[in-house]
Amino acid sequence: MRDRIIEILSGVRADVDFEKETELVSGNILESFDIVDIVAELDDEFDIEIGPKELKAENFDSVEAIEALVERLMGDE
Amino acid sequence: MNTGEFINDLILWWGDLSYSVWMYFALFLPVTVIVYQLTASRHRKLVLLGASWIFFASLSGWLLIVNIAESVFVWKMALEIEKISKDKSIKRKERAAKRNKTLAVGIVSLLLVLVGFKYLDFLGLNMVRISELFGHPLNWKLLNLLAPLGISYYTLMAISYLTDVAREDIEADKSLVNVALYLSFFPKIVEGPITRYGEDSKALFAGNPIKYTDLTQGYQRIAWGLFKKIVIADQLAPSIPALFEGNYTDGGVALYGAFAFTIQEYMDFSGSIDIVIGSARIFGIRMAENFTQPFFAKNASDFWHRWHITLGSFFRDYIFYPVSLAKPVMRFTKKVKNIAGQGVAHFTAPTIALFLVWLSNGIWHGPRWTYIFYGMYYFVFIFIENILEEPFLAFLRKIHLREDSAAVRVFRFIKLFFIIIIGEMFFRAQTMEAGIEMFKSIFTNLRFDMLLANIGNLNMDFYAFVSVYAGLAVVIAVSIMKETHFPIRAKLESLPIPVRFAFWYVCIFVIIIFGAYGTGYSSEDLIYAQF
Repeated sequence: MRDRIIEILSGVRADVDFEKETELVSGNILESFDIVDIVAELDDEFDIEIGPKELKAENFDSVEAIEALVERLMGDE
Repeated sequence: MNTGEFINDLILWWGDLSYSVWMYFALFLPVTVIVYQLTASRHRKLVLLGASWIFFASLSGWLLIVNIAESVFVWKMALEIEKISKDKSIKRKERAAKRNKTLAVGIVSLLLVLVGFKYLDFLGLNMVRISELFGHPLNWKLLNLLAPLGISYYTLMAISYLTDVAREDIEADKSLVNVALYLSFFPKIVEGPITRYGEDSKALFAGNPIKYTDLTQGYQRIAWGLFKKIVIADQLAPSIPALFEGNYTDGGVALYGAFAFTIQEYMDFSGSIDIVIGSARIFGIRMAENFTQPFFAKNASDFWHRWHITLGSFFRDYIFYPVSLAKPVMRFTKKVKNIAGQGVAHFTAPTIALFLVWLSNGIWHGPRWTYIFYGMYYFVFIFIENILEEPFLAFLRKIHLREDSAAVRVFRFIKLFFIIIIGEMFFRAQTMEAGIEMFKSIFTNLRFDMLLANIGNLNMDFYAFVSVYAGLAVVIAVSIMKETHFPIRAKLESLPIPVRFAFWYVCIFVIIIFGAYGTGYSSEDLIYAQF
C-alpha cells in the first residue's frame, strides 16, 4: 500500500521527496489544491471516502500518516 | 479639574473603551488581572466571562443580549448534535443525515442573525437597483442597524464549534459558561483571531494562576502592538482620507495612497492582534497567530497563509475542503477529466471551491461592492498563479535560474507587493467607480509633482512622517529577524537586567513620545473592528 500511496503522491507533486518529508502540510509543502487531488486519487484507488473532517495536518504530514488514515478508513467500511 | 469633571471624563473614557484607549491598559486589564488572580481557580472563568460581558456592553450596549442569546443557542445546538451522533439506535446513514440537518439549522440561523444585522440595507438597496432596471422601482427604507460587537468574528467561531462537534473532532461542552466565554472572550471579540474551540478551551477554562513569565511576555507583546498601532498606524491615519477622498485622476497620489493605506491597515490590524495575543497571554492563553510576515510571501496564495491567517484557515476548513470534496463536485470533476483530460480536471474542483471561498471572504468584510471586488481580485490572482506556477518553474529551469535565487525572489516580492497594494486600494476606495478611476490613473497619469506639492496638505506634520517611516523601518528590521529565525526574544532575555529594563523603558517612552494621542486627539478606530 505504501508504494502505491507514494506513487499517487508523486503523480500529484513530482518535486517532493515523500519518503523523507514529515511536515507535508504543516510545513506548507502541499498546497490545498494538491490535497484535493490526492484525496480524489486515494478515494478511487482504495475505495474509501475521505471526508473534510479527515483533512488535518496530522493525517497528511507524512506517508506513514496517510497510510494510517487509509487503513483506518478501509477498516471502517 | 474638580471631582465632577473627573468622573465625567471617566465616564466618557469608559464609553470609549477599546484597545488603543489607555483606559484598557490603565484600568480594565489590570483590574481584571487582579480580580482573576484573587479568585479561586474554579471561579476564574466566571471572572473572565464577567469582564468580557462588561467589555462587550461598554462598546455595544444592550446588543450584548444578542451575543448571550447566540451563546445559549450554540451551546444547546452542539449538545443536540452530539446526542444524535451518539444515538446508536438509528442507522449510520440516517444518523449522519439527521446530524447534518441539525448542523445546517444551526449554521443557517447564525448566518441569518449576521445578515439581519449587517447586510439587510445592502440587500435592500441592491434590490431597488435591480427593480429599477426592470422599470418597476421598489422602495427601501434604510434601517441603519448597529451590529453587535465582533458579530462577524464570533459567528465564524460559533460555526466552527458546531461543525467540529458534528465532525466528532471535539465534544460538545456541557457548560454554558464555557461556550459563552469562548464566544465573547474580551481580547479577541473586537478583531479576532478567529480561534477554534479545540485550541482555546483548555487554557481558557482552566483558571490557572497568572505566571510571571506570561505576565511580562504578555505586556511586552502588548507594547509591540501599541508601537505598531499608535506610532505608525494612527500617525498615518489622518492622511488616508486626503489621499482617497480627493480627485482620482492623479496616478502618483493613487499609488502613494495605496501604499500608505496598506501600511496603515497592516500596522493597525497586526498591532491590534499583538495586543489581543498579549492580553490573552497574561492569563496563560496562547492564541493562534494571525500574521507571520505576510510581505515576505512568495505569491498571493502564500500571502493569505500569512495575513489574517485564522480567517483563511476558517474558509479552508469549512468551505474549501467540504466544497472540493462534495460528491456533486467530484462527479463533475470526473466528467471534466473524461472530456478535457487530467490537466483541466486538476483545477476544476479547487477552482469551484476557491471561487466560493473568495466570494465569502469579500462578503464577510462587509456589505460593500468594493469588498466583494477585493475577494474576487484575489480569486483571480490565485487562480492565475495556480495555472502559471508550473510553466514559470519550467521557464526558470530553461534559463538556469534557481527558484530561491535572489533575482527570482526580488521579482516575486515586487510582483506581490503591487498585487497587495492595488488590492488594498480597491478595498479602501470610496466607491467601486472611484477605485477604477484611481487604478486607471496609475497607467494614464503617473506623475509625482502633485503628490510632492501637496505633501504638506496630508494632515501630517514633519514629526508624524518621521514617526511613521522610522517606525516602519523598525518593523521591517524585526520582520526580517523573525523571517530568518533570529532569536530576538532570547537575545533580549540574555541581556543583563539593567540593560533589559532600560530597553523596555525606552520602548515605552518611544510609544509615549511618538504616539498619536493627547489633548484633542481621539485614538483611531480599529479598522478591522468594523467587519
